Amino acid sequence: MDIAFVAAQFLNGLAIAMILILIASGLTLLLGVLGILNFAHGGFYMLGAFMMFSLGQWGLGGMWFWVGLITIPLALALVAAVVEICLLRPLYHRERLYTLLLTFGLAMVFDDLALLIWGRDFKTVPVPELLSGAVSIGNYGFPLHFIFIIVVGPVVCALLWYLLYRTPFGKLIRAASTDTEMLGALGVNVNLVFTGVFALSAALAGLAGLLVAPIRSIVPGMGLEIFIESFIVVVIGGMGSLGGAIIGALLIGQIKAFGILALPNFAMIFIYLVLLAVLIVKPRGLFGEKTV
Amino acid sequence: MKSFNSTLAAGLVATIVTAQPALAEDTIKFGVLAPLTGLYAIVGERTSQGVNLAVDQINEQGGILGHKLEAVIRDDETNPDTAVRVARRLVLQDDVFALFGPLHGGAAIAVLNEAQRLKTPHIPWAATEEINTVNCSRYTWRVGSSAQQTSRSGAVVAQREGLKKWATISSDFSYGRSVVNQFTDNLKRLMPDAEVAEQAWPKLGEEDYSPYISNIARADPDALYIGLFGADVVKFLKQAKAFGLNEQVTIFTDFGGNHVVLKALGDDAPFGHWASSRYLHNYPDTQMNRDFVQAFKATYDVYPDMAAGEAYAAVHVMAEAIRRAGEPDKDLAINALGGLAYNAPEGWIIMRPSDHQGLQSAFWGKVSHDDAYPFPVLSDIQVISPIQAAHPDEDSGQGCRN
Repeated sequence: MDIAFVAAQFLNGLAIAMILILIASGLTLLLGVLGILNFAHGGFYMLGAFMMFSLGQWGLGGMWFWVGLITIPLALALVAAVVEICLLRPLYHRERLYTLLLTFGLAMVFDDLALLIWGRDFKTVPVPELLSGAVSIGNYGFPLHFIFIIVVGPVVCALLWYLLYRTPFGKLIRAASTDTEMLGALGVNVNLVFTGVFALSAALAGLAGLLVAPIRSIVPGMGLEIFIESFIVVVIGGMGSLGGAIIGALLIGQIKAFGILALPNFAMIFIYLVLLAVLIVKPRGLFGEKTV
Repeated sequence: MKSFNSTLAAGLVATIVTAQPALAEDTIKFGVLAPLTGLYAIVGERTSQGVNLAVDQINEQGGILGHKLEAVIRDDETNPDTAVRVARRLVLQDDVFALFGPLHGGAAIAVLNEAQRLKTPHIPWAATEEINTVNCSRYTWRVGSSAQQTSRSGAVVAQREGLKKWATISSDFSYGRSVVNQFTDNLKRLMPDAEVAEQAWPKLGEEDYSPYISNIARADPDALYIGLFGADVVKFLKQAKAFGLNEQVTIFTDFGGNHVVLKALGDDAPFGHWASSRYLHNYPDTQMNRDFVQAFKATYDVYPDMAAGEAYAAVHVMAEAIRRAGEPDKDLAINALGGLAYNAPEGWIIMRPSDHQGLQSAFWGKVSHDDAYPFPVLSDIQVISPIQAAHPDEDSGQGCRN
């Protein structure tokens, strides 16, 4: 096995991990702070991709991708805030099962909404001009767009870290994940924190969706597969743990990249083996304390 | 209130009394299962359109033996359990004459067994070879090409092109495996010195093929055979192009000539590489195909794709079988299907009695631009006859159980 191939596979795994990090971090934040498993999370990923498709159709003088990179996460944050305030908030005082059912229903509503707006055709967007082409690693090509994804991942992680640990809002989020009732008793508007976290998670999922839009096909239902994989990442990392989600995603990325070499027919099995091993050894996940 | 209730009741009774027998006696219903939701919704939409166009045309020409034809189209959710439930309801409640679909191989086999129990003619959309081999049943006949017809004919093109060292990639489920296995089987028969250097089996619906692409590049093959289906083909071809794989190997895409795939890919299509489709809107250039494309475009404002072409042909074949039977009798229609020949838009289809497979030519062509269309099409079409490509029927397991 030549070193160039190992490097190429490592980078492939890294790019997969970055997308998973973006989705899983939102999922785990929701679990940690709001205490809900959001089945509709993949829907925001799908909407991000579809919105990028529409921008690609309009062109915007060749700037469509860069405009979308900024505006789509903001737009989805807004949509998510409305969804949280109107639909989720009335259910918080009920049993958790109700929110679970609601998000499950929302996932289907999002799929059908995409079907209504964009139709059933398979859709693609081109790779943005600035990022088209590939660099060579020995005999192996590696697309510039994937390099961009690998750069965006850590930048977003750094911003998230800054938000959580260096801003007053971040302090509230961390406090809410530890003891929501106490935070409310101290006079903090907990509802606002919840809305903010829900909007943030949707923006992150949308960012993942728009980043992969040029290299995947855009169809209603595309959010389900990624939701399942991200949930595995969250369970491995420990529900509610941001660091855990990052480690989990990096792990899954590399397993996907190198697993096919060991057992080409059963590469998927490694992901579930790791999940199984983690659940047996550390049932709460690798970083399973309830902290953000 | 009372008068409203009694009026309603009287109305209901009237509806039941008048409408019910009229429908049962005069109309022949075809029950259609298709994926109207989920990842393959586009296939379901085109299938429905192909069915509806055929039904409308048949009715315009006086129906079948004077009976009006009606299609009852239902979502199978790409799920075997749902498909069987819906199929039962179509036969037992809606009283359909024949079942069509589903697209999903496992679901199609489940419906095949149900059709046998219900003694109802059945034409599946799924191309899985097991339908004609181990699961072959009296009531189930496939009009569209089977998976092996397309992929075995891919090996004929491979031989013509003299490509020896191969890699393959296909989804890890029955259809995906049978596509590639039939290709490599025929490849080795035609070219004993051919080598399959790398085989990848990602899961159905895989989002990221990059590890597989690098691994295929490492094997350094002359050519790559892609047996992926639906949106997976689109994803894979986009990623392969981004990785520069198109410049390193010759690509054969089993499902890649399908119009919905080429249209979705646009400029990212693998130009100059080989692809196949079981139906092409631009080939063969016959009156039949031109008329079909024109009618389809006029009705739905899109070009017919593979699903549309196959659905259209299937409805016509079943209608023809009923005409030959002389009366809408399920068993007589099944007897009439064996040996039936129908001139479909894609060419003549002959229903082979030994394995219930509609034999027809397979098409492979090069992905290219054509000024007549705003999307990529296939050109340099290679027509591979069923004699060269179809699974020999003596290989089809125990033959068709009755």
